[in-house]
Amino acid sequence: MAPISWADLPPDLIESISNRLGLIDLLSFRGVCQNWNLASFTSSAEIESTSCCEPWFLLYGENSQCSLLSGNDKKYKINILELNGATCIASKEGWLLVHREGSLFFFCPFSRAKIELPQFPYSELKDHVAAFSSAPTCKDCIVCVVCQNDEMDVLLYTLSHGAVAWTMHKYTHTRTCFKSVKAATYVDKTFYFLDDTNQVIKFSPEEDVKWARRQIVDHHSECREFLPFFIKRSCFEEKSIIEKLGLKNDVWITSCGTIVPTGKYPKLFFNESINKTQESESCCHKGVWLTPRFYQISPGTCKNDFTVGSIRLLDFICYSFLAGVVNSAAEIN
Amino acid sequence: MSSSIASSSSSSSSSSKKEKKISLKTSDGEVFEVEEPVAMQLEIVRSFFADNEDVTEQTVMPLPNVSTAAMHGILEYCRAHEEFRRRMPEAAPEEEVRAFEAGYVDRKSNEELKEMILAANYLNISKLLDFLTGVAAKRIENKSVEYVRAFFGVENDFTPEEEANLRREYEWAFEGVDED
Repeated sequence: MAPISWADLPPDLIESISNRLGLIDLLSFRGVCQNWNLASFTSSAEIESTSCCEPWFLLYGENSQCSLLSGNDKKYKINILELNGATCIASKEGWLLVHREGSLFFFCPFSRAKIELPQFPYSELKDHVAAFSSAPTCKDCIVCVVCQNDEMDVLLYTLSHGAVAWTMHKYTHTRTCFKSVKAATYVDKTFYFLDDTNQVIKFSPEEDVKWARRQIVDHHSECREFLPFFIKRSCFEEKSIIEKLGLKNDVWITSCGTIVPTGKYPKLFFNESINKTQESESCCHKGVWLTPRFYQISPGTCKNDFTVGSIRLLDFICYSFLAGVVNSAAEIN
Repeated sequence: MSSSIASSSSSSSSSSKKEKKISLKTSDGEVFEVEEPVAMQLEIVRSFFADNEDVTEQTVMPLPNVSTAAMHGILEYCRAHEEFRRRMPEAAPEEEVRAFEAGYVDRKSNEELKEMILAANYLNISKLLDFLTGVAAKRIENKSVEYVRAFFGVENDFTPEEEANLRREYEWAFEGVDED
């Protein structure tokens, strides 16, 4: 009996090796041979989501050429067609919520897995901020896009996994104004929206009293509630992103935050806008903090809510929250 | 080399006469007399003895998928962990465990590592399997595709078209990996 080679190890053993690799090593692993490629299909670089890992930063949007800064400050140039002219409005667990040419979709920039969402009520998004409860492949995923109208109402649009249309919820201010939303996240069954004046609005989809308003106060004061996460307002400067990416000092950048695990409580990165000028918006660079995960979507994982086309080795599959819309990367090209 | 292990285990048995031994026979016919607590770390052995009432101390359990060489490696690991457990039943001495594990894998070639992964999988020792697949992953870290292929003796079986697709798609990630 000939000894079993590394290439011919049982798939579950190959997978338990590939499950221990970070993003870059996983990409190499997948390129070694067919068996390794197939057996590592569900590996998603999960170790990058452990609490000791820093989020990566992706600079995108001007054309398809993006710059990527890893957690240990290594710089990569990466071509991502889908982000040409796009805007990320939320980022969590390696998934980005992206707005581009009137449509909203979930996107994993490394695998280029794409999940289209039903038509959003507005085709133009301006100062919209979003959050989602869990990965879009989870059955209980809720997406939430927030914006403010001229009357300073907070308008919330939610979409549950499997739903075909967005639901609008309105919160009207009674006393002081809530400034524009600078961070949004979902922790413990509740969406949190924060502005830069320490005000917080909570929205709990499952509760009877859905809305609640709070103020962040010093941790010594006698408060009855704690925020279930840490907040980080100026990570861009703290981490010297401009220098590390080799950009000009006065470059205008807007960035989308994310939430990352850190021990007991997660850490929320605020959205930021650096060096905003009066010049035309085309000068604005865009960036997003993200966890470097690699998700591939197989047709079998989402029977009821999705229709997925046939899948071939090495193809990037795009599928839709709504039945019937199937794109492949080749068509986008 | 195998005889030295066998003799060392028999000498330890003479010092503690009462210790129960379990006989395990590898694919190449060698019989290992293994102290019971060590043998019970092998889930396949534990369930064999738990499920079969008619087995006795004289029963030799055949392990047709495990070579003698892999068995030596497996027992070395299991004996060390049994020793840690015996000395500190509450919490393993983490630093010592790490030091042992580091030295342990340094001596293993890729071939030995693979044989032990297969054996640990067959014997169903989840802790050792986790550890060994982690070691394999560590050996891949920050290496190029070509290096990994050569290092593990894996043949490239992609068609030139598939290979080119992969390259193009992931090219960005492969700049700056170690070429050693």
